[in-house]
Amino acid sequence: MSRIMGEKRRVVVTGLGMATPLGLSVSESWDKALKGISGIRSLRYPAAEKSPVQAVGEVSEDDWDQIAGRFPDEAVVHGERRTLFALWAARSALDDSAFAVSKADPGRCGVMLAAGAPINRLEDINPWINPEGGFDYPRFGREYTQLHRESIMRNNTHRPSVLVAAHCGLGGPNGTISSACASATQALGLAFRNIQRGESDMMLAGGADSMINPVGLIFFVLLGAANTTRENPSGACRPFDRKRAGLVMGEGAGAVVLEEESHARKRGARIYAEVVGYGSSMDAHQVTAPDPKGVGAARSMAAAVSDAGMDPGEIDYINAHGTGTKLNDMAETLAIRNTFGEQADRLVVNSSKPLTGHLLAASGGPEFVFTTLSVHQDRVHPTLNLTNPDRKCDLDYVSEGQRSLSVGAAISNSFGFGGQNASILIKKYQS
Amino acid sequence: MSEPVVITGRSLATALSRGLDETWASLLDGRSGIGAIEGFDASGFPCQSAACVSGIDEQSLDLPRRESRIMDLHSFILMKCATEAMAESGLQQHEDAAADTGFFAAIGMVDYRQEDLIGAVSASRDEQGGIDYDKFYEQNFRDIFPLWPLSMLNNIALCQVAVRLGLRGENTVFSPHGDSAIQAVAEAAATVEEGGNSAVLAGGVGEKVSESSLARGLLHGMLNTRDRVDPCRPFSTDRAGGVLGEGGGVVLLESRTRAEARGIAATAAVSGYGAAFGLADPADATTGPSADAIRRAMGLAVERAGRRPEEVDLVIAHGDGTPEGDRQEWEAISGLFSGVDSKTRLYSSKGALGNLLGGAPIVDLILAERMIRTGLIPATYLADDADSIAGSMLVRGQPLEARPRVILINGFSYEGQAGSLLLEAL
Repeated sequence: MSRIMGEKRRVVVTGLGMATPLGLSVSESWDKALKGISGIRSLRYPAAEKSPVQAVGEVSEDDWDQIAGRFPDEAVVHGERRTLFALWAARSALDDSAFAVSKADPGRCGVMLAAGAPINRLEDINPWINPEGGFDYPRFGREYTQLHRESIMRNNTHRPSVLVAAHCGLGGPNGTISSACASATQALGLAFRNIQRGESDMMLAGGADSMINPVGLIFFVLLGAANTTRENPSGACRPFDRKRAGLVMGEGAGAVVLEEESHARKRGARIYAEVVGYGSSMDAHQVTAPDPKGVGAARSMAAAVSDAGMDPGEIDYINAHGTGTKLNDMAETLAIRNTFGEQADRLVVNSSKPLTGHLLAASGGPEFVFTTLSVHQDRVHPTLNLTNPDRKCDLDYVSEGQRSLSVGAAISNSFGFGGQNASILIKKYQS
Repeated sequence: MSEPVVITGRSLATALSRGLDETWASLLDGRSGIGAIEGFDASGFPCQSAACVSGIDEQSLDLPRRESRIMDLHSFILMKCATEAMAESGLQQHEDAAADTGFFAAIGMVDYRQEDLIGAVSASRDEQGGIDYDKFYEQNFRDIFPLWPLSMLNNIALCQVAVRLGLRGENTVFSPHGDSAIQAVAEAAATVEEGGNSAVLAGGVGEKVSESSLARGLLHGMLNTRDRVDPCRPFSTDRAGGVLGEGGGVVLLESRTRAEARGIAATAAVSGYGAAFGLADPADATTGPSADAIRRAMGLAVERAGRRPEEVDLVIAHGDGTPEGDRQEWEAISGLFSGVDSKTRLYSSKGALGNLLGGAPIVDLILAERMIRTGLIPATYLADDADSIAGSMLVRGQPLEARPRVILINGFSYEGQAGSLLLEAL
C-alpha cells in the first residue's frame, strides 16, 4: 500500500515489563535469570493433586495479590489471569519507558499483543448435562447468564489488548495475535513493522497467557508433549539435554515499549536496544509435529537477518525457542546450523524456559525482554539443567552459568504448534 | 507511490451460497441467508436466528479423516477458500510459487464441541453433581481424543492450509473480530509491497454458530433478542441488534507487475488502511468503537491511499444493525463525508449475511471487487423504506448502477477496535 513515509524508520526498545514465575520486577527477574534461579515449582493450583502435570511455572499468590491490587476494577470484572498479567507487564513497561501518553498523539500509540485463548471450563459443561448424559441446549439457552466471569463465552482472545489500551489510553492500532507459541514474537515483529512503516510512533507489544487450569493441565499431556516429572520440579525443564522430557508450562506476560528512534531520542528516553529485523515462516510439514529438519525455523531466522540487512556472522547470541521437547530442540539446533553454517560454532545459544516455564502464546514476550537485556548489558543467562548434553544438540548453550560477552546483535526465536515460526533481531543501539 | 497490490484470486462462503457468483446474484436479488438456527436446539435462547453455511465439510473438500478430525466449520471454510483462491490465481501449479506465498488470516473464537468433552466431564461427576477432579486427572481426561487440543488452537486452521498447499511464507493469525481481518489484509498487502513474499493470501473466517458463540454474542450485547423475522436491519431507525453469520473468504494478493507478467489483468488494488482504538463507552470494555475511533480509522485509510474523502464512491459499513454500533458508525461517516452532498454511497451486507465477525471484511472486500467489476451496488437488505438513519446515502430498494471506483470497507470489534481498508479500481 502507498506509504507516506518512504524510508523505513528506526525502532528502539525504551521500556520493559514482565509478570512471570520469576516475579513482577524486571531487574529482579533478570538477576534470578543470570544466577540461574528457576521459578518452576510444584503445582499449587487447587484440587489438582492428581494432575499428571506437577512441575509448573506459576505466578506466586503474593504476586497475584499485588497485581489484583494494582488493577482492582479489571480484577473484579474480568478476573482472567492472562489479562491481569498483560496489564501488569504493559503498565510496567510504560512506566519504565517514562513515555507520557498525554504528551504524545494517542492515536499514534498502539497495542499489539499475543494472547492465549480464554479458558475452557469444565464447569461450563457440567451443570447442563442432562440425565441421558447429553448437553441440555434449551436449558443452557435460558441460563447462560450464569456463566463464570472467566468462561470463554465471556472473554474474547483480544481482552488483554483491549484492557491494556483502555488502561493506558492508547488510541492507535490495536491487535491480537493467535499464532500459538509463535504469537508474542509475531506481535513484537508486527509492532516493529507498524512503527517502521510510519503507522505509529509507539507500540506496547508482547504477550500474555495462562493455561494453568484443569483443561490446560491435561492439554499437552494429551498431545504427548508435556513433562510429567513429579520430583525436583525446577530440574524438569531440560532443553538440549539428553534426558529432556517435554515442556513445562509457565504463565505470565512480557511487554515492551517499542518506539520510533527520533521520538525516543528527542524526549531523552533510555534506549535499551534497537529492533532491526523480523521474519516469519510456515513449516508446511504437518500440524502434529515440527519439521525434523527445521527448514521453517531456519527460514524465519534467515528472513530476520535478511530483513535487517545483516550477515549471519554478525549475530552473537540466540535466545532459542528451546522447549525441552525431543523434537523441538533437535530441529532448532539443526536449523541454527543450517542458517549460520560455520558461524554456528561461535554463536551463544540459551533457552529461558527452564527459568519461567513455557509461557506458550506469551513466551516470546519475556524472552524478548531477556534478549534485549543481553544486548544492553553484554551478559547472557545460562541454560539451566543441561547436564547431559545430547550429542545431536551440539551448540554452545551456556550450560555452565551466566556469561559475559559482547552481544552486538541477537535473535529471539518462537515456534508455534502447527508449524508457524517467528524470529526477531535486536541490535545494540548506536545513534 | 509504490506499486499497486492487486487481487488475483478470491473465494468466499456465505449463508447465501458456497461460492461468489451465487452469493452475488442472491444479493442483487435482495435475498437474505438469515433464518432459524437448525444446528442445535436453540429454543431456550433469546435469539434463535443466524445465517448458517451448509455443504462445506470433509466430504465436499475430500479430506482424509486424520485431517478432518481436528477441523470444525471454520477450518473447512478457510481450507475451501484458500484452495480456490490459489487455484483461481493459477499459482497452485507451481511448488516454488506456493513456498514463496505467505498467509495472514483473521480467525474467530474457536469453541469446543460438547461431544468432545462431555464424556470426560460426565464420568468425573461426584455424588453431589460437582466435578471430582481426582477422577478427571487420574483417568477420565483420557476419554478426550488425544489431538483434540490442536483443534482448539486458533492457528491450526491456517497451518492445515499451509501443509495442504505448501505455503511457507510470512504469516500471522489475528483474532477474533472484523478489525482483525482488516489487519490481515493490511499486513498481507504490506508484505507484498515490501517484497517479503511474491504472493500473500489474506483471509478471514467467523465462528461456527453454536451454543457457545450464541451465548458469547448475547453476553456482549450484539444480538437481536426482539425480532424473530428479519432481525438484522443495518441503519434502520427501528434496528434492534445483529445476528451471527457463518462464513468467510480468502483473497490472493500480488504486485500488479507480477500479476501482469503472469497474464492476469486485475480489477482492483488495496490502496489504504487505517486502524484505531476507542471504546464507545470508556467505562465498559465490551462496547464497540467510538465514532472518533471509526472516523480516525477511515480517515487514515483514505489519506494513506493519497485520496480525499470526496473521492470515495462507496462505504461498505461494518453496519451490524446494533442500535449503538450503527449510531457511532453513522456519526463517523456523516462527519468524514460531510459537505460532500452524498455522492458517497453506503452499503452493509450484514442484513443478508449476518455478522461474520473475523470473516466479514474479507467477504466485503471480495464483494467490493465485484462491485467495481460490474458497476453495481446491491441494495442494503430491507432498507427499502424511509426509516434509515443514513438517509439517501444508503443504497436501498434496488441495486444501484453507480460504477464505484473507490470503496472504503469498515470492520470493527465489539471492544473498541476499528479498522478500514480502501480498494480502488485500476
